Amino acid sequence: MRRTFLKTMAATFVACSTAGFGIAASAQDAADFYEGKVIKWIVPYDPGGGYDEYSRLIAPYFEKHSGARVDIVNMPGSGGMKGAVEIFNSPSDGLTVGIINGSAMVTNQLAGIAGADYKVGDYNYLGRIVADRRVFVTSDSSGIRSFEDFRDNGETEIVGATGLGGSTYVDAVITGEVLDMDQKVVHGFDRSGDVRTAMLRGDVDAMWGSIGSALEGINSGDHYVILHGEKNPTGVLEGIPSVYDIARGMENGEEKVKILESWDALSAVGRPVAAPPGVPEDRLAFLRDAFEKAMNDPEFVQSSQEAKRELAYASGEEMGQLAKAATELSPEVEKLFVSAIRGEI
Amino acid sequence: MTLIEGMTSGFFQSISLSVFPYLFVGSLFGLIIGVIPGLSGHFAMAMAVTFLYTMEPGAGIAFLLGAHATVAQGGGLTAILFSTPGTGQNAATLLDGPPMRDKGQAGLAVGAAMASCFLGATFGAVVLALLIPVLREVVLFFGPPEVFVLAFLALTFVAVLGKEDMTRSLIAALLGLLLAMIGVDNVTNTERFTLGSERLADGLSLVPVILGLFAVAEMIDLWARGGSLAKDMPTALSAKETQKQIFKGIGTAFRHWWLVMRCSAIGTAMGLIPGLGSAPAAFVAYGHAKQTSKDKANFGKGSIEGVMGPEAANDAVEGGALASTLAFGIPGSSSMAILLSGLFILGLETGPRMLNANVDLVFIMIFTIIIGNLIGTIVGMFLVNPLSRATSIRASVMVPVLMAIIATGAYAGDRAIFDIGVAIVFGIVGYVMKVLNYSRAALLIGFVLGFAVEKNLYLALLLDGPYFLFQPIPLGLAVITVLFLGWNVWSIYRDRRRRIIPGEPVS
Amino acid sequence: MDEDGKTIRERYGNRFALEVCFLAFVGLIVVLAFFEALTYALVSARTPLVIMVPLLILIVIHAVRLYRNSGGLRTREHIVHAVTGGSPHLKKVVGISGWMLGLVAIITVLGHYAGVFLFCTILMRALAGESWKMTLLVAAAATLFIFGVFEYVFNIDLYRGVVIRYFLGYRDF
Repeated sequence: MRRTFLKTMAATFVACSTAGFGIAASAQDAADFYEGKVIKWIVPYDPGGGYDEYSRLIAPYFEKHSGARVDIVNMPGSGGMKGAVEIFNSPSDGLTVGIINGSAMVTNQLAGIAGADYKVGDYNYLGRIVADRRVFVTSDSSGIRSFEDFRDNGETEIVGATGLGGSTYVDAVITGEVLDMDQKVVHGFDRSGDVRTAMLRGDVDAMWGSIGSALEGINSGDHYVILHGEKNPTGVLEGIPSVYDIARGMENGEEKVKILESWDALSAVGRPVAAPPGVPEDRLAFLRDAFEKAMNDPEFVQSSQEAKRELAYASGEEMGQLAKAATELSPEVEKLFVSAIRGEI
Repeated sequence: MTLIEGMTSGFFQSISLSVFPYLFVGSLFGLIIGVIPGLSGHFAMAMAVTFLYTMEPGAGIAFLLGAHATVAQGGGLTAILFSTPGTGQNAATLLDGPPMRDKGQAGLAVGAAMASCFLGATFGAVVLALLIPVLREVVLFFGPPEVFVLAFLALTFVAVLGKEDMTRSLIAALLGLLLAMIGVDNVTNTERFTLGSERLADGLSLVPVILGLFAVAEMIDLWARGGSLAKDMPTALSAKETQKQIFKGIGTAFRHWWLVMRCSAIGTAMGLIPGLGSAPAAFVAYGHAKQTSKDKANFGKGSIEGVMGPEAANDAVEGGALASTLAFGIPGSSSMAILLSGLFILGLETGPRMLNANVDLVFIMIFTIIIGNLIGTIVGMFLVNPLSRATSIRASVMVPVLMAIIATGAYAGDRAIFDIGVAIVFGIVGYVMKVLNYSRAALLIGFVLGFAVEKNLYLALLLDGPYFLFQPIPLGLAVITVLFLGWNVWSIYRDRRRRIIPGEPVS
Repeated sequence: MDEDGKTIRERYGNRFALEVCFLAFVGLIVVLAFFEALTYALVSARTPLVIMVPLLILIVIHAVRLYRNSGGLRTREHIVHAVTGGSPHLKKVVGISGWMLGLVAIITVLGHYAGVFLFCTILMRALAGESWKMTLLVAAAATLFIFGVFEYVFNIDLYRGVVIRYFLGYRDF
């Protein structure tokens, strides 16, 4: 009995250590594999934009922690879809990754837009770099300083947006619908910068945007944040109501909060870095590990602070779940979103 | 920091050892990118930005703006020597530059072009400096209604360009407008005229269209007629002769300083208007030069004024565009957008704060533009000689090589094979238009402005309702447009009645 | 008589015939676009229609004018003459246009470098009759130049071609 027990123990021990060794060995294999190789990092936008900047900021650290060289390739087109499709269809040997506009790719996929030849849920995510915090800002000339002003002043406010289906548009329409806001959404501006100019001119009263791009206006007194989408507001957003606060105070509050949470899931996808489906397990694990180390590297954190770029790390596994949550919505919510994206609301 | 302090500090920083080398390299970089057909300012910025991550602010600005400043100069060089526009802004130079080369005056044209570029850029930069206190108000001036009417005014310049042959020019312009409609409608996201193609849903890119209409068409023409690029010159000009001509050209530009200044003013003004891009400015300046010239008939056949006007304007545009970008940190064009991101990467904030606290950086920019253009002019002079030799190489060698480079340039913009196809198709169309005397310039203007006109019209209607036209400024501009158009139509009829009709049937 | 052995009148006749064909082609496209635009919602269709109406009117006016001036030009004969290979100039134009499109095809299948090299070689050797030495030298020089400038200096990946991409493991071209 004892001998069998010992034998079993020995066998188990050998099995475990071989397995452990095996895992360690494949981790080592992966590291060896990447040593000296070139990883192609696809950016679906022009150089100099936010996605490009994040990529170039993190590339040296990713190189440091993976042992491979990172070659950044810009592939602009179709509002970010061209690059996303390229990543999705790249060889799955683990040597091609890229950063994608997660939220936009989700809305494109949901609305079935031509060219969305990918499945957001099927990417192999390395992790997320940041998820922009959404804020609703009003212009100085509109005279609106708080959400109460907006709601109670009896006027239909003009909310500016860029293109149909873009985040500024989707945010405005969904929150407007759910929170019953008296607004008229004017879209068709080329860039969010153009909407900002329109706000300064007084043509437009308010817009949705990420807090990063709104900060300068806030600090110079041109813009006021009256609403935001954060559940736990910090910093500049403290004291300002969130969409959830407003929703809870309304009729059917619970349902509204649920819809808003789906909306939040959409923006939570943020800017992830992904590899195509089918990458071998060990290589994916290695890449995820390298990404995590790079994101948490104190020098990287410092350089992104200096570049005034926020970070909000989420791991590869978490990203996979976030992507699922954003694309697998309840039928009613999906219908609402799709008609919002298509401009039917 | 006061304005004077900023100016002196900026100047000394620009020529300091830590900044000047970057300025020099950047200018060279821009010049070379400008020379290669299909690579534009946008591309130059995109490439330059990738180097910025390791530079200091002053050096980075010098590099970035130095590159941006000289792209149009390089483009002018290829436009004159090879009939291929290096960038979109140089398309207008194609009207009179190549004819001058054909007459054996390539050096003259290049010298005049480069000097005009330099003067234009300086003008634009100086205006930028003067406008700093009031930049915000000036840029806020242009909202959708104003831009719409101004774009329309630019469109009516087609009337001036196509004076000899109104019907054909108007058909070309309207076709250009129609081509701009291809793509996804900004308003309702419906795909218009895309025939189900996903590539077309983004619309036709400007660079392949310009390359096709002007460069590829020229290649077809060259291949079909044989000979060399410099049509009437059997042997190349000697180096000495070219050098002499260059200096003479530079002198001509300075002698015509009043014309150069007016065209620079046009360029700067149009650069301030967001969303129009730089190609229209060059054409508007060309039209103006033609209208005010004492020698109108020579335009299109090799008039030096037809080269100086557009070149002065297309460099002055940068000063104007920079002004609106700096005032708010809101870019007026795609290359400005990249430049802006470049500035962010360098840790610089634009907007009122920069204008108040970091005025010396703004002046570094201004001086960089001026000095960069100067470097571009000087280096360009040295480039002309070897390049102009090439214009006497026979077609059977030139055409395949140039076509290969053009095809690569067309691809490089957006990494799309489709763009090469677009360039070739437009090349065929452009060749036919050239033979039949339909103005390709008119088509280009229509194409470039079409989208701007529609988008701004839509926004203007949405924001102010149909009566937007009756607001003071749009109304004033609209009146000017109507008067201008009316005067041109009247003068055409007047000329027709006066002119003795030659033997050729009037068509 | 000029180099093609034509009189000025003949050249003018050829040009006229070309313009007729061009105008007919453009007119047809615009008409098709017109009907296409009618199927769009008013907001999208408005601007294209506003452009196309004057355009069609102008085309008609111009066509009428051409017709009035066509007396004695025997346009149809010119067209037939050209289409059946009577014009060497036209043949050259069609030739180079065709080969340019061929360039795109080769690039798509075999990649940019193969395309450029083959294009230069074929054009110089087969169509223009240059010597083999000159042809290969220039073709190689052009290809290397493009490689050096675009791939090396500017770091742009030129298209590898459907074939190569397939073997590299891409699932989308």
